[in-house]
Amino acid sequence: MVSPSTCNEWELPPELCCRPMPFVALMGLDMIYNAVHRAIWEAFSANRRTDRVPQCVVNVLPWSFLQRTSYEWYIPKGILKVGWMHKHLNVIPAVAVVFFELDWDEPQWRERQSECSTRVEIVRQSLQGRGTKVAVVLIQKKAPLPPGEDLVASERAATLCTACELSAKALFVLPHTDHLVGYIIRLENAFYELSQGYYHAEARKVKSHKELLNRTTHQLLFVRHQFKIGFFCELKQDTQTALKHYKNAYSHVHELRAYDTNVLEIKTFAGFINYKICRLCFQHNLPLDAISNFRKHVDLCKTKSGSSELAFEHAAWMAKQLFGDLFDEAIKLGLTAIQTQHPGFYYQQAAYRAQDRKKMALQLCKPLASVAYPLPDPLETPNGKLDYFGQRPWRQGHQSIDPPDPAREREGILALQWHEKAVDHSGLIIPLLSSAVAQFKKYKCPRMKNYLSKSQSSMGNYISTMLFNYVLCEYRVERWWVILTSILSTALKCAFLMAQVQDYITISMELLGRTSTLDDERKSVIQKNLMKVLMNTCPDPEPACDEAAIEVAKNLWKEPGSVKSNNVITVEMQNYVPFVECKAAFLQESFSVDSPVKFQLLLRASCPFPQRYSHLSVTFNNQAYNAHCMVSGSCDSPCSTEPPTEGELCLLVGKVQRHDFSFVAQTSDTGKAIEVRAGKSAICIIKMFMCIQQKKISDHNNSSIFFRNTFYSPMPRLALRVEHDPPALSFELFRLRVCTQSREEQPVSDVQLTISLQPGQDANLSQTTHVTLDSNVQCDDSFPSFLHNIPLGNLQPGDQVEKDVFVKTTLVGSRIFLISVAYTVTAMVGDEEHHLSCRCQQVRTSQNGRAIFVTQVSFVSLSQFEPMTRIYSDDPFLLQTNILSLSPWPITIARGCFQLQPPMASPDGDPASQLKQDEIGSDCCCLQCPPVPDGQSGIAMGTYTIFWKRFFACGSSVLFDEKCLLCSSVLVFTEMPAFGRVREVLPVRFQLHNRTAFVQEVEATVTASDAFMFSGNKLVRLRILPGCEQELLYNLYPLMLGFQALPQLLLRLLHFPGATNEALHRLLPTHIFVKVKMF
Amino acid sequence: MAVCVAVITKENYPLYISNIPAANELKFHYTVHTSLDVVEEKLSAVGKTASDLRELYLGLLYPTEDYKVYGYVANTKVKFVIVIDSSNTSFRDNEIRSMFRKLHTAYTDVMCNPFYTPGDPIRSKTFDNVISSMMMQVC
Amino acid sequence: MEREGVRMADEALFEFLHMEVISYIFKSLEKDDSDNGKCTAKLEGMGFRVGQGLVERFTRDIPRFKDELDIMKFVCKDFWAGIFKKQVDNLRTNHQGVYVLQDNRFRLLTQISAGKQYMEHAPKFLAFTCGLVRGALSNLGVNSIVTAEVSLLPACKFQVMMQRA
Repeated sequence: MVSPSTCNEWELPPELCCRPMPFVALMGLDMIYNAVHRAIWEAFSANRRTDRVPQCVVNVLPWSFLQRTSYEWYIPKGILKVGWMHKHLNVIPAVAVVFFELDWDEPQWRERQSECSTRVEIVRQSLQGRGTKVAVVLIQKKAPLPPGEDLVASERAATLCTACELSAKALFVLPHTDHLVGYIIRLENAFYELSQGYYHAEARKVKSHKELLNRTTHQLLFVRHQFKIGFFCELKQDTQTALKHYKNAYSHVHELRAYDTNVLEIKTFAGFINYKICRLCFQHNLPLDAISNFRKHVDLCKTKSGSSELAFEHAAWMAKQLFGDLFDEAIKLGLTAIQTQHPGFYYQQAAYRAQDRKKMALQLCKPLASVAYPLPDPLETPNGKLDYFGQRPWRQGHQSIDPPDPAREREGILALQWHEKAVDHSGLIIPLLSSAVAQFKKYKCPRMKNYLSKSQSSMGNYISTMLFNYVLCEYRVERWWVILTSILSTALKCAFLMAQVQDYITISMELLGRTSTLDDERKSVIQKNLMKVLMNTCPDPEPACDEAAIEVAKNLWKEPGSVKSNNVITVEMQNYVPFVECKAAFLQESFSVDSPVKFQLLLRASCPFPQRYSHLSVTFNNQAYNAHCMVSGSCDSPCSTEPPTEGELCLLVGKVQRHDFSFVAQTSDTGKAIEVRAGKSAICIIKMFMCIQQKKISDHNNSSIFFRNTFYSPMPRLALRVEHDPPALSFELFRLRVCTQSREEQPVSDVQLTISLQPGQDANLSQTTHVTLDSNVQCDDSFPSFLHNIPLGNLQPGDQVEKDVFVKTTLVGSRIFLISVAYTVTAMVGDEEHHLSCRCQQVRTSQNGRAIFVTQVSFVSLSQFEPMTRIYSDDPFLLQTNILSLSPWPITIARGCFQLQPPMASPDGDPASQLKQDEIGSDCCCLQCPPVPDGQSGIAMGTYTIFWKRFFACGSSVLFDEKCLLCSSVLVFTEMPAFGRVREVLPVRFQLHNRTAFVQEVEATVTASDAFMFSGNKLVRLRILPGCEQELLYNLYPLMLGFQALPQLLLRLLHFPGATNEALHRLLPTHIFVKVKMF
Repeated sequence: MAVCVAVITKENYPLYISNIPAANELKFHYTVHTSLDVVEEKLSAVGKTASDLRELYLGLLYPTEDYKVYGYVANTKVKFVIVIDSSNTSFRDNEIRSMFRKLHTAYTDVMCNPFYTPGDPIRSKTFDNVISSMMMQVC
Repeated sequence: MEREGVRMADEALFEFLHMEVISYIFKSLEKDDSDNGKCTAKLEGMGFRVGQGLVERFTRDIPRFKDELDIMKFVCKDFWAGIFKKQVDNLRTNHQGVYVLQDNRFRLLTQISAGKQYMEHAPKFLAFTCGLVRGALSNLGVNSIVTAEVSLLPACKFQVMMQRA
């Protein structure tokens, strides 16, 4: 419970922080021996979900409550008694419920009734006149009858109420049946109502005292009463009214006159009320009110710091206002916070206060070492606890301006300081900071988070510098050098105090770098220290370190394990800006294999003193070159600050040092890139050779700056020329003549030619491009699209060789070929003889595949030579091809050839080509299609192939379109002379064929024509059996000369109405030429 | 008046930070650096919300106990931050706005100076004078 | 469109300066046997720095840009008008980071006689402007590659390709 340490620990009492709930005491339940009672209790206490009324249910076994203390408060001694809230939350119930097993038909009713009334009486007595409501619950075994029916029950209930002095509303029946939980919930609601009545009455009781108060002596009581009313309202679950009263209480607190002796009490209590107010504001979803209240609270209390000897108390109090927690809790319950207003700020604020507290505590408690803890302990109280919140244990209840006993006061302060000294401040600050960090991370403030993480990791002096690394990296990336330097300085201090050699060296090197904002004086101290470390001695202590800590650190540095065990220290520098900067460059973009590679290394130091080094090396991706780029020098006094002597490797301040290297590349690297390794091997290594008396430093400076590619191949000395006759035609064998001439001064051997499509073109090109060396073969799809390493033999200087390569393309489009020649030549580089195999000489030839022909295919009806969109089975038609040559050169067409797809057939047998050499030609053949099974609408026709040649025989094919095939039901053939003569009989015979499997009824009409007279049936109905034919004969008698329209035969198929004329009439001649009569 | 004025590049490193008193340099660096969080958040909201912020002046970034931090981002993503003492309550938004305008103009002049390499820390007497006039105005 | 006579003297100055810079740079490098590429790169670099500075000034009083297209519109309108006294005639984009700015009468080419005769000299008159655009965009936070193309003097097209990181 409440202990005297509360005032030191600054924790808010738990009874303040919890949510007040009506307190209901249940009595008379035997939990150990009675299963029914246990079930009732569990139904009350278990599963308290939010939908049930808030209630704090306690099972009380003893039949009594705490003795009420006397209530003399006319001379107020403080604002609020320490135990008050606890008393009303946990001790004095709002409702005391007596459980009693009693059925209405109990045979010994009278005895049991008096037993029950006795119990109620005991409870009443123990409550000693408090307004606590008393209720009785009868546990019954039988289910109750509907109200009003059980006359015995209502009568006995009335007598029981009288016996127990209960109102009828306070008597309940709990039948122990299946629906226990349902009954319990109803009981609960009834208790809740009773409790509300109780708390309402209590609040009124407090309010009624108000008239008795006066402003001069009872100021404390104004606060106390308002707080109490608020608290009762809260117990009553009326938070709106509670908030109102708390706010009143708060304004009363600040009306109190504050002086050193009571300021703590005022502040403590103001903090309590503020906590309540903020909490309720959040609960009412008024976060802005809560925030502004808190701000106001902090502003009001900021100045009330109290006695200067206990200044840390004020900071501690400020740090403990818990607003961050409240805010965070509200967010967890659904409040949304924003980037500029979230709990992180309040945690941060609290953390700062806690830091202030630490600082003040360090300052104020320092002289304590010489003073003993005062005895008797002023913090001890007679009963071990305080009477009022926020009072001094040694002068409780004292409300005057001056402390009653100055000596006692001093002792008390001393005791508090003693206690403060023992507090682990960092342990308080770090959790606050980590809460803040978490919040800032959540609300997208990476930099703020970073900043706080930094504060967090710099809390203790002895935290490993590794903790800094993450934070440092962020600042380094964003190039905030001032901040970086400050953190690094702190880190250096840590590294010194902990004697961490590796960290110490790394940090020093970065602090000496160009980006550090330290002044030269500080830099020279750091460099000297760095040299000391390399000389294996203890560096000078960093400024502003604790004396004692320095002594500890010095011993640590002397320990053998710190430096001696590892005499090579490797420092990864790629993330830092080191004090030796390095730049490397190849002097040319690319080098020929037969000339030396030139490489340059530039070094610059930014430290205040000359820096010596013993060794310099470069790492290449091909390690063979590493040996060429090394420098070592004598290094006798590696750590001197004097200018260097002859032969020493030393970097002078502000001067750029240049190293030139040159080496001959290996032939195997031809065409490859060499690079200077960056990344992992970019290391700055400091080697300390412990075996020798003097230590050598070697700077391996392969900084990560450079990453230059060198591409080298000897200059090609072989001329390559491609002769061809563009554009190429598709399907033809196109000749590429490759002429290779050697311009080398030496004979070249092993010349090989490679031709392939240039990568990066359409991938399908390789399927439609074929390459061959032989013009006599039929180059079909099986040939590849490339040829590798065609041997061309050896070449003497000046020799020339020609090679023909044939390319065939089957798809129109341009292609780019890569033609290259590889050869081997012996060359001299320097004094060495290199066998260079050179693969070079890339010539690109763009080849245009071009279409040679435009072949148009048309279908024409046999009778009228009109283009047809569809063909009819068994109905002969003409297929005509028109060929237009697009070739820029004359080409010879050997023949054209129809390749018909079955069932396509020509009525005349195999169609022979009639096409001979011509620029534009057309080919024509008559075709007929037999009937095909139903349901097939389209029919493939076949292809037309033209065999032609420019130089080499070729053939290209055209695929005909699919055509729509229709079945004709009745076919009509007309038989008539080619021409007529005026006034001479012209017999016209129509033959009607029935192609269907049904009997067809045909109605044939012939229209009249002015140009003809005719004999024959004008309207006739015919019946044609399946597969049979009928003949209609008309004798025409032309009356006019010239091209005349014939009388039109109209057919109507009675079984297929409407579907005839167009199909039939395409076969009928419409006109005839009428000549003059022969005489 | 202003206790700290800062110019920060679009890559978020400082080109110029001036503050009074000079001893508090580190603290102001931290203040300005952390304020970039809010600046970035506000910038990322541009174009996303209906009521997007098309003005270059971003307004109050965040108040701390001692300072008010204001932000302004040019179209070229150069960020300007002005820190004002919290106790100085007489300031109106318009005055801050005009201070930023002045600052922006001065920065533009620096950018248009052919002897200045973009991205380098600003070392210009003219610019210094403009800044110090902003810091001196009231104090 | 403006007529020659109406132009202010200071506008002419820019053209003269531009021409002088070009001829100076090309002459100074003629002695070395270096190629034209170096000269155009130099001009482009000069344009880049100028663009950086100009855009700082031109964007000082306009509201914040919404997106990339907003920036390109600014380049075509305010920026172009500020330097060349006319807006770009046509802006096209594929919405994937490629923009084509077409100026039908590009100011720095108007002094060259129209037609094909001097076509080969056109690129050196465009390098500075390419840099100008690239510098402006770079300062606005957009990295790009800017190339120019002339098909018929004095019309020209600038192609801007955004480089996304």
